[in-house]
Amino acid sequence: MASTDLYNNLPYKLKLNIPFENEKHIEYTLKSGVVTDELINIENNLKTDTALGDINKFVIEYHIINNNILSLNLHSIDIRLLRLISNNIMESIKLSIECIDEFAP
Amino acid sequence: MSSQLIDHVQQYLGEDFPIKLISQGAEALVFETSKHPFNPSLNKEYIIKYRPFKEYRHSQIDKTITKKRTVGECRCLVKLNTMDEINVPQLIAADPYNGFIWQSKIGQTLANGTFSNLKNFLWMNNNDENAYKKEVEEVLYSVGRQIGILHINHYVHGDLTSSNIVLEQDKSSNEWTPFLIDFGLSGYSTLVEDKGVDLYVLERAILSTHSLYAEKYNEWLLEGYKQSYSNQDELKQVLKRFEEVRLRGRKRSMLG
Amino acid sequence: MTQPPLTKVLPKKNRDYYLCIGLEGSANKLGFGLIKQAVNDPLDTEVISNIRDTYNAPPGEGFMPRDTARHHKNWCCRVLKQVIKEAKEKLGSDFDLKKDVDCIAFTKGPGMGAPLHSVCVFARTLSLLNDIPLVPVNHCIGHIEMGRCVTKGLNPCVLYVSGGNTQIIAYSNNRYRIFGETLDIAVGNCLDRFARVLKISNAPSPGYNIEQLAKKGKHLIELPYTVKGMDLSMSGILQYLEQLTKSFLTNDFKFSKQKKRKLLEYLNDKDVIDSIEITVEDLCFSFQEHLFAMLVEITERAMAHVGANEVLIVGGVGCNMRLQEMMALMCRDRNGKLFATDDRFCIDNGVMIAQAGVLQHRCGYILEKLEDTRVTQTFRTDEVYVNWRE
Repeated sequence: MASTDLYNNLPYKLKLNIPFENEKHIEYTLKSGVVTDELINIENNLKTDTALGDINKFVIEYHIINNNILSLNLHSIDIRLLRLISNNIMESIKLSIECIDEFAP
Repeated sequence: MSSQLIDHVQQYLGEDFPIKLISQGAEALVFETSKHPFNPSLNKEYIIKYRPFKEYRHSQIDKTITKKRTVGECRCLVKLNTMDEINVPQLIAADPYNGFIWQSKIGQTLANGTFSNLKNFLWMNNNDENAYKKEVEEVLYSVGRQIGILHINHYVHGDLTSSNIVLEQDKSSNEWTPFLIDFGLSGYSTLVEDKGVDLYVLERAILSTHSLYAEKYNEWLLEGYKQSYSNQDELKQVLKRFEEVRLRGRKRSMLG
Repeated sequence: MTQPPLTKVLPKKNRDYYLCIGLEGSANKLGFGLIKQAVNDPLDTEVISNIRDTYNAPPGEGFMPRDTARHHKNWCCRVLKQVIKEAKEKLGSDFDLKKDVDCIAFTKGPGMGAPLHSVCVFARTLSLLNDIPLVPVNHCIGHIEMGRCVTKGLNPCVLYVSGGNTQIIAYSNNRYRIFGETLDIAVGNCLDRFARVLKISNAPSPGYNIEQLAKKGKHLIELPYTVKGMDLSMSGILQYLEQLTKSFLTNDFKFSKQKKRKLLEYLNDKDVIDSIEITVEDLCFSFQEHLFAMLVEITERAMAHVGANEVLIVGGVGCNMRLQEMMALMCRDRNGKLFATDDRFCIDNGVMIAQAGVLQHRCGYILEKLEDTRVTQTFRTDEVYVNWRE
């Protein structure tokens, strides 16, 4: 399925551009939570949350701009879900960045 | 400490009453005697089970529990003894306020010198060569059947472990007959939940005590259990609840 | 003492000890710790640093996953900085995370999802950033391994009692096997919920406050007592007591004459019963006496079943002096031994996670893919293959 088809029925969107020091740090942050786990976690929660229905109600895509900006596009079926998940993601990214700032070798 | 307890029992029974301590379980001291409590003309072997005062718990809690369990065990033994297919010891006498029960003696000595409960029997055969042999399989089937019959009659044991099942061998056919013992936590119950928990407790006891071959053992036990049921609907319900109880155990999280 | 598989990976810089950081946050406590473990004796562990920060919910409330996760996220960096500061003081100012630490251990589960996940994100970033091996640890195994350090290698029955767990564990054939456990709720959870009904403060912990009240209790009221083999059930006693307490609270901290006569029936003397006023302290006292009697009883059953003579209590509820006293009495009657309880393995902390983690590291644990570090709310003690013991 082309990505545009997938997003057509997900009207609520949020774009996040987060600057990093370098691409390595972006990779760490992504690996630490956002793309791998945060999404898996959300999927798991959705499966058990009958109010939210199935997992096709939220999609996240990301790319890296100029080697130092992490750009996330969030697509959601409703505003509540978008708020919930974007909040989770931002908190995770924040924790990761704090860790990098404090404890980089 | 246990010598003090033995002295107490000796005092209670009378100084010249012949007793021999055979095991100190968690809850009770078990003695062997050749003397009947009130009929001196009977000279068989008897078991005296004594639930001592537990100093760790509040005396009132202790009193209530000791009395409740001793009375409960007596009731169960009497009731179950009236049913043909169930093998349990015979009740001889009891004194619930002091925590004493007299029963007929069950069991013998195994080839390796240990007492013939299921635990020792399985441990004796705890190697690849013996664990899968027909004899073990047959024993576990018949144990399963005993538990099935118990449940069909709406009794739950409450403390099913391999130590609480004693085997006796028929001298001519060499076949083993299992006896259920230790009915302190037992009772009458028509609830599928109680039966499911009973099966779960046994499954876990086998898993933790006989882990090497537990899977096979549990399979045989359950097979025997199923055989005893003629009412398939009832069986289905119990097995379904058993599955649920098991799942509850595995899925329990820290939330709440 | 050294077994061959325990030196598959050697410490950095050819030292004769390993350094491991442990990160714990499965419930309301965020705890980080750094340990130094001798190569030739895995039970010879020195605590370099042990920092903890606890999230306390307001009275009458339990800690919610969301708020707890937020607390952990806010404190991760500060707590780790403190650990590093203490490491520099004790190991020398040239201590360096990347160059010195052999592995980072963190709690994979069991516990609350959101708080676990927060610490996990932090652990992953720290590991990737400094290229230090990451080791996921089972929380319960952490308690047991730390306890084993203290008992120096003996093989006791372990009673693990905390807010989320109630288990009796003994080691056999490379697993910590669960002999008995709760069939419904955990004992700590049971205490917490009763504290909530009474609106007792959550600081330092609800259980501690109940313990203090119980000390002043005199009159026992009889409550349900449910032991099933080596398992126990606590929802019955909690429900009963909750109802009783609610009517007690709405009735201006009193029971009606009739109710009292029923509750204290065992005294067999109406005049005596009528002269007694049942207090909040008595409720706490009765609750503890029943709960702990059940715990000690199933521990004794497990001991008799496996033929063990030693007991070790781990987990937060293990700090309760009355429980320890009762357990000690039981052990004395069996000619057994109760090991002294110690904060190091009783209250959740990072050190115990480090201890369990470094054992896995020494046996050559290698994280194959990052997904293996995903946290799990349900992670049974007997799922872990214990290859560091014979």
